[in-house]
Amino acid sequence: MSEISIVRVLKTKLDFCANTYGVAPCTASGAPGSECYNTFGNCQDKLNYVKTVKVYKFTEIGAPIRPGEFTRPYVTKISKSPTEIDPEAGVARQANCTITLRDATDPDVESDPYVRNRATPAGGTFLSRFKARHTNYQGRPCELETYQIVDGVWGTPTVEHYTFEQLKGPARGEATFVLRDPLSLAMKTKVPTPTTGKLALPLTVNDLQATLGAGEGAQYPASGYFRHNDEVIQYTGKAGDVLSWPDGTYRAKFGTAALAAKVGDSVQLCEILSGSVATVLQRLLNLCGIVDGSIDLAGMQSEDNTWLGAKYTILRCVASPETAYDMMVQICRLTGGVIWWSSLDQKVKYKVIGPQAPSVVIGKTLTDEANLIDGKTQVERLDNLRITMSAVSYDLASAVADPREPNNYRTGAAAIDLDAEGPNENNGRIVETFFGSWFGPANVQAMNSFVQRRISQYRDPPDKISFMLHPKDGAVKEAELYDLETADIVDAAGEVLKSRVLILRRTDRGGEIDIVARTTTFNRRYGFIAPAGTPNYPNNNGYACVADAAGKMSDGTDGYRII
Amino acid sequence: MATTPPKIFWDNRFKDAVPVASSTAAGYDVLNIRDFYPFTWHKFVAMPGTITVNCGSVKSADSLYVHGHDLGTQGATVEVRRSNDNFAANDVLVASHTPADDEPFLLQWASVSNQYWRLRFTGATAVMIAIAALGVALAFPRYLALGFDPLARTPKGSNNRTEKGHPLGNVIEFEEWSAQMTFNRILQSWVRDTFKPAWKAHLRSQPFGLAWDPADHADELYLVASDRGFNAPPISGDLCNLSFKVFGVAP
Repeated sequence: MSEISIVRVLKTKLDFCANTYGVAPCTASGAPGSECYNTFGNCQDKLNYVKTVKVYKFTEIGAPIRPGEFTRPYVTKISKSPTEIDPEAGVARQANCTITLRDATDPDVESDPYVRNRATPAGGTFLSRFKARHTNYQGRPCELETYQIVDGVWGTPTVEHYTFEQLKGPARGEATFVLRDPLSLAMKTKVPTPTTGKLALPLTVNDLQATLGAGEGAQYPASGYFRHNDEVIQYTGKAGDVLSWPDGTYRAKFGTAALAAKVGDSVQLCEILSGSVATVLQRLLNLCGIVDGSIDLAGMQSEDNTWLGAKYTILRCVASPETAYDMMVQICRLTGGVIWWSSLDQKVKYKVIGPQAPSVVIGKTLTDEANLIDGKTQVERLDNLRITMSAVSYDLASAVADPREPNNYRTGAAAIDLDAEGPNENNGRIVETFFGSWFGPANVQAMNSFVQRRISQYRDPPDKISFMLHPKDGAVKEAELYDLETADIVDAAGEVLKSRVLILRRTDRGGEIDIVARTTTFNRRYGFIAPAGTPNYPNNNGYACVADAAGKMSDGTDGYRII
Repeated sequence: MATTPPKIFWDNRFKDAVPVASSTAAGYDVLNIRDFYPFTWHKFVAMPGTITVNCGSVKSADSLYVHGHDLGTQGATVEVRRSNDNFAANDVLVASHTPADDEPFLLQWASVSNQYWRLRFTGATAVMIAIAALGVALAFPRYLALGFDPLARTPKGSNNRTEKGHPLGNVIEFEEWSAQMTFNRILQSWVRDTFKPAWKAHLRSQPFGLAWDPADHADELYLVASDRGFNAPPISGDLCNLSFKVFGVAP
């Protein structure tokens, strides 16, 4: 058995000027000893400030430090609340990490490029000066590296990526760094961007232009859609503060009616979100400031192709500012998907919660024998998720209709499992309802499929399983599928039942890794349409095969449901 | 048990003035060698490398304590040298050592004095060093009292087994070493005139090196910090019992 040590290193990547004081391009000219500290807050030549990154590294008190590493052993506590995938919420709970550091005196050699010139040694402590100099820390990237040292050999670290959110203290010799995952930006972002323009001239139902107050046109792009009162208008031209359109067909868009407006009525820019689910989610993330490089675009598209496709194509005009977070919640819930920030992969990811495709590789089997730490396994049946009927209202009457009002929807879809409602099962109806404001008449097939999937997944509720793993099994990640064998889940005969589970949360505590998972459930044998050349049943590699007239396979088992 | 009383290494000629390195890698300032932090480093660019200090006046040294280095890995040698003319015509070798590994080490010699002191590193590859304390050791006049345990250590970590009882082993974060340093029947005048000045100048606020038996166990070196204060209650005559607590990472 190998000896394992765990070392965690926090890297904060803060702004730092690349210039040398008083050397071109820096034009500052103070006397020796009065130099800046190469940070923007105390820069004496802000016009020529050249932003680069300075990495400060911290580790836990007592942790080994490799030769040449400037890693300050200040960390006294690391509290992590990791991403938790919540299939019911749609958007995962954002990860945050709170790191408590003990402050210390320091001769300032690492932080002050001009320490030799100072007439008096630096006062204060390392963290107090850190805060005073790096005033613009918010939103800057941070990494938490976890190293396993196995028999004295440092391994490759797992790296969790965060953004610097808050610096509390230092006070009484301690400071706290609060780090969050970038998806928290979605809570701060309104879509469409709130605009403050108001009509400067009255608007009649036949007008082909809208005149805004002086200077207000700058808030609007060259073309787009805007809303006044309960009408949405498409405009194609902008000249100063005047928005214009060619003819009356550009009025009364997205189910609204042409209306007159008076001086002072608000003109709110609208956001048109259209395309596949992956495209719309990408657009929303981009609007939050999350760039494509931080989005698992390929994975998102793959999930879309596998589970959703053209029948889920979205066309929606958002006529009032809402948070991007709320929109992503709605889309994820209506597609049976979840979106989350993977701190290990440094990407926003999207996954449809469903049975795995035949091509999916199961990580491995985790067992009581070899993997699960003693006394930490708990199983809870999520009975509150059980349903017998699922219904969705969709096709919102207009872009300005209240999406929370059922009467504003033109149609709906429902699926009922009569067996589940029978006296030998639930003996009653358990209903869940959704508002599908993102979907319209072109999405009939999608909505019918959606409610069917819901019933198939939740007529029998899943189990939530909490367990703990040793760092040797540290590769387990959220959203991956594993098989689990534990004495806490058995069949009717009492034999250990191998359960396929989806990892919802992974908390790396250094010496142990807390896992929360959920069993994947589907009430029938399901299958995907097989590629050409797939062998016949029972050698069909998990793909669907055609049943006989009675719906049975050649061995008498139930036929497949194509999902 | 110990064959010589303990010594503390805090006095440092490199704090008498700004030391000058023959070469310095970017980001590895030579000032880092004198801060007693094992996580700030100086690194040469070219070998041989020297770190020289002009103390401004004649100053003594009887030991070199080095903590954090890669001399063993690089197969390098360190020499302690002194001079009265900034190594122009006068360049005296005081001590030298070729470490076999990268563990902390201690060099000791009979105290000598000079204005200029230098560490010279030879070898093929540029070396790095975290702490170098070249100075006069604080030598305790008495042995440690019974109960001192140089080997004890407290691992911080966790121990787990599987649901079926199979051991998964310990996961160690670090091993702490702490000790109560007690010296019985020590002269009050020594505490007043020697220990207390060192305490006020350095020991109460900054890390320092400790050798509990610098003769027979010179490799058992601890980089420690004091925990709060010290006690020196008088006993009979002009004697007292000195005690204070130190803690650090077990080597």
